[in-house]
Amino acid sequence: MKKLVLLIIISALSLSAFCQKSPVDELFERYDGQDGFTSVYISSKMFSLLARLDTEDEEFQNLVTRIKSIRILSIDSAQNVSGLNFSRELLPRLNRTGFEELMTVKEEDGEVRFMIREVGGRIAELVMVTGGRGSSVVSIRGDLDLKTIASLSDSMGIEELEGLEKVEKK
Amino acid sequence: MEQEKIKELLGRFYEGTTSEEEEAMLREYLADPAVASLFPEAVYMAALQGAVPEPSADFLNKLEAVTHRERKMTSREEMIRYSITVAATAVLLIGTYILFDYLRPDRMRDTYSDPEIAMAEVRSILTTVSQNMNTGTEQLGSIRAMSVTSEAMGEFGKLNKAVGKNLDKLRYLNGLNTTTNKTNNK
Repeated sequence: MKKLVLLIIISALSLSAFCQKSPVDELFERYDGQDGFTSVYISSKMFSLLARLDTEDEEFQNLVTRIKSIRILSIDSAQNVSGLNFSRELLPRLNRTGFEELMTVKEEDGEVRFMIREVGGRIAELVMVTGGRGSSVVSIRGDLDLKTIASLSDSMGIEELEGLEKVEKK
Repeated sequence: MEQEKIKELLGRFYEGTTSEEEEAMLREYLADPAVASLFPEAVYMAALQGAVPEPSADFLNKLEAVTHRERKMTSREEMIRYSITVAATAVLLIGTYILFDYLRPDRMRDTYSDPEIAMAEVRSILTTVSQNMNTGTEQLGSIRAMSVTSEAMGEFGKLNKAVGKNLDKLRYLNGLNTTTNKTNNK
């Protein structure tokens, strides 16, 4: 009987550890849909549709097929959510939950941190946290190839980027 | 009329719903040879006339020994049994959690329903990430140059390994400069 109780306790503890939500998930759940925040979510189902679209850029298409989901959460500066900084809120918790810092880019108006979570030697999640004014979080999940992501901005011209800014959001 | 009564009592007897008085009455009826010849059950009922013997003192022990054999499990079998119990419990709990999590009403929904717009947004997001990433990796070329030089210096190879461990995470960006150079050459 004692053994059984012990086993149930161990199972419950291991389950609670297994089911522990990622800090990124918690952050999105907390602020998604609230006033003063903008969020974008592109699911794995949508990515499976995107993989079927014909694009001339084969490298980009390859990259897209390996992504499972993308989420963005940003503070709408117009609403002025004072005192909130995703960088301060998220980074200590990411460090405790298996994320490693890839790099930090410090700029005049804040810093950008790249955190990665590895599974089996491959990058399963990339989190880009922008601190300072207009704090935002970008979470990309999948079997990520950072080399291709990093080379994207080189292969695209400024004109293409300007065009993308004009895409109307639904 | 008597036959009908006997049939009805027999039916209830086989169902086990007769009282002791009714059973005695039934035995009495069937004791009559004229009636007994009509019912084959009379032989069986006649056999029940005598008192049922009481079981012997160790009857229950013998019965227990036959029906319930104590089998001691080996430690390996016990381990497997407990592992299966734990695994089954865990699967059940995880399944319940996933189910409730999936059915939660506030789950995030796709922002875009049109794949074309979603694709444009994905490209925009990835490009932003890429630009930020490139801002931080401009100096990566010189780090790599340092790494090559220390290898060439032999004794400093150990130092190179130590640095290499700390720079391990940057391996994902290997070849980035090559890509950048190619683009610049274009």
